[in-house]
Amino acid sequence: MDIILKASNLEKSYFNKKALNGLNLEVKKGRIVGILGPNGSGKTTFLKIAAGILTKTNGEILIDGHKPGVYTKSIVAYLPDKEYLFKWMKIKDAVNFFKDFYKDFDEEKCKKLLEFMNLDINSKVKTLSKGMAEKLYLTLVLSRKAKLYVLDEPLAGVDPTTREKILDAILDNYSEDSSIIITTHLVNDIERLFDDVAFISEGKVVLSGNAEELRNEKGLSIDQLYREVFK
Amino acid sequence: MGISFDQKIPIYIQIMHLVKRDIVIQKLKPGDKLPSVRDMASELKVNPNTLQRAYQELEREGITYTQRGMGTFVREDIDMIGELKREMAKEITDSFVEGMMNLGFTEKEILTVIEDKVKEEI
Amino acid sequence: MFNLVKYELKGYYKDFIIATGIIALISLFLITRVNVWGLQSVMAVSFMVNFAAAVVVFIWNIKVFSRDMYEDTGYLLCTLPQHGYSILASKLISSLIQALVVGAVTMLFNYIVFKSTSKIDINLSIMVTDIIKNVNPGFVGFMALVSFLEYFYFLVFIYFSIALSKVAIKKKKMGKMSSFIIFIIISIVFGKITQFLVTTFPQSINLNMLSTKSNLFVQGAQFMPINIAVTIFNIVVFVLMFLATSYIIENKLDF
Repeated sequence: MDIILKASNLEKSYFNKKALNGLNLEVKKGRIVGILGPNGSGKTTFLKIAAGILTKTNGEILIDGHKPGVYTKSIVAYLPDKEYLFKWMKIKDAVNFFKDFYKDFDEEKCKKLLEFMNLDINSKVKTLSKGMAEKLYLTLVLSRKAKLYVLDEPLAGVDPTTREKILDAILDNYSEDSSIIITTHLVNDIERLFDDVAFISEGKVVLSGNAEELRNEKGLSIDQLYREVFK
Repeated sequence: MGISFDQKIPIYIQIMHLVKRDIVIQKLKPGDKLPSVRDMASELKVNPNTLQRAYQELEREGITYTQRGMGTFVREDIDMIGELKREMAKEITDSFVEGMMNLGFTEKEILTVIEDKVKEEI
Repeated sequence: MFNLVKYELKGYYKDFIIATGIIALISLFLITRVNVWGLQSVMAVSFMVNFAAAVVVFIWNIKVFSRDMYEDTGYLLCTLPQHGYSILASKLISSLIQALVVGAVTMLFNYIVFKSTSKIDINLSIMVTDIIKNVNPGFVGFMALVSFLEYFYFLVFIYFSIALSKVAIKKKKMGKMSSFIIFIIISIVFGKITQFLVTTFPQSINLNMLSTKSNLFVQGAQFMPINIAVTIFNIVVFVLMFLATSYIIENKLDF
């Protein structure tokens, strides 16, 4: 399958608002895609639907040709913007957990990444600072050989050194067989990693394309373009 | 954070520039193997696809050639290297002269400035 | 599925230890009080401890399901490539194991307390052995099994109510109240249906509560009737609620 994710006219309505209003997006294999937009634009909603923890109201979304379900959950590695591990766990429990439930989990890689991130495998999850927790969640997610990585604000709330490490880890993890979707506000730090970008506003994609081509066309950095689009 | 790129300009073009420069200053000699896409991407902290594009363009421009399974190499073409040198020099001088003329310098003044500067360096 | 059970119970490790510790302490304390307080009081306190343990287990059993429905840990559970029925079954099995473990601990300490008190009071010991002699062991075994299954049924019922309310009512605050309301409404409806079935299809199986060695004569009141239609109804409902809850977990949850 050349296209790992295809969303057509995707809609998600709540009682009082429409989070996604006809979102169209295609993600090809082996690409790193940035989904950019202000708070409330629908980024997180879209990611949650891709991860299978939120249901759509209308439209279609296919991951590797399948509707979100048990199969897609086995090939999608999701990094939410929440602290979602069990409070009683130590890092090694979390590692074992991922190992037990995901066939594509690489324990060796995980141990190496934990070292790289300076995380002690015996620490309790609840004692980790926000930055360390973010590093842990990312480590667990990247240690899977998933077809699609969905990272919701991986750089949020972390100091610059940690940010560096996270970007390095993401880059290092790149493979032609998998794709990565990243949402972020910190466009400037991460735009050199993007193949393609999609700007989301009010539940729709208002601009999308190849990052390099957009730079060429507009003579702007993606960060500057972001400010243009959302001023 | 690797090398700082001007993110207003396509990054692959800037990477190509880096490679061309390395060839001109002989950091990369004719026949030398360029670092692999992955290694270079990791070092520069950019998307490997961007690197790939840069390498493809370099090949298209006849500066490098790829041998399947072996890698990408600098063409053993002295003329090409000479041409590169001229091209890069032209970029610098064009930009310089334009900039100076925009500031209001005359031909004679520009030449004087250059002479003085070169004497200084030597 | 068993991995789910493993991690569920690992989280309760501390709770188990604390609960066991408390039961042990109280029981040992009771033993020392036998002479001071008298037999009746000791047995009464023992009984209250049993009751408290049962309530605690019941709360744990509900939390096992509700926590993942309402808190961030639900993200973890629902991103796993697990089918709804696997998740549901793991919740039921975890609850069962919690009940069995706490039940065993409680019974153990009950026995210890009983043994130490019966040294004091011979009459009680005779009375208990008397009761045991008269009751049909088959009946006891059957009732134990049925209670087991009834509790499963009850839990699935509760889980179904929670799942349904999570889907139907989006506000979190309303959620817990509404699951309770759904539970009540369905209970009432089922109650009516059961009543109807009992009167329309009175055929039952009669179980003998007395053992063959018993000399008691209670004028026919020794039989407990089990209505066939109601039993079938309960089984069908159990299966339907299990399937419905599994479906909701797999397809309809929003976090």
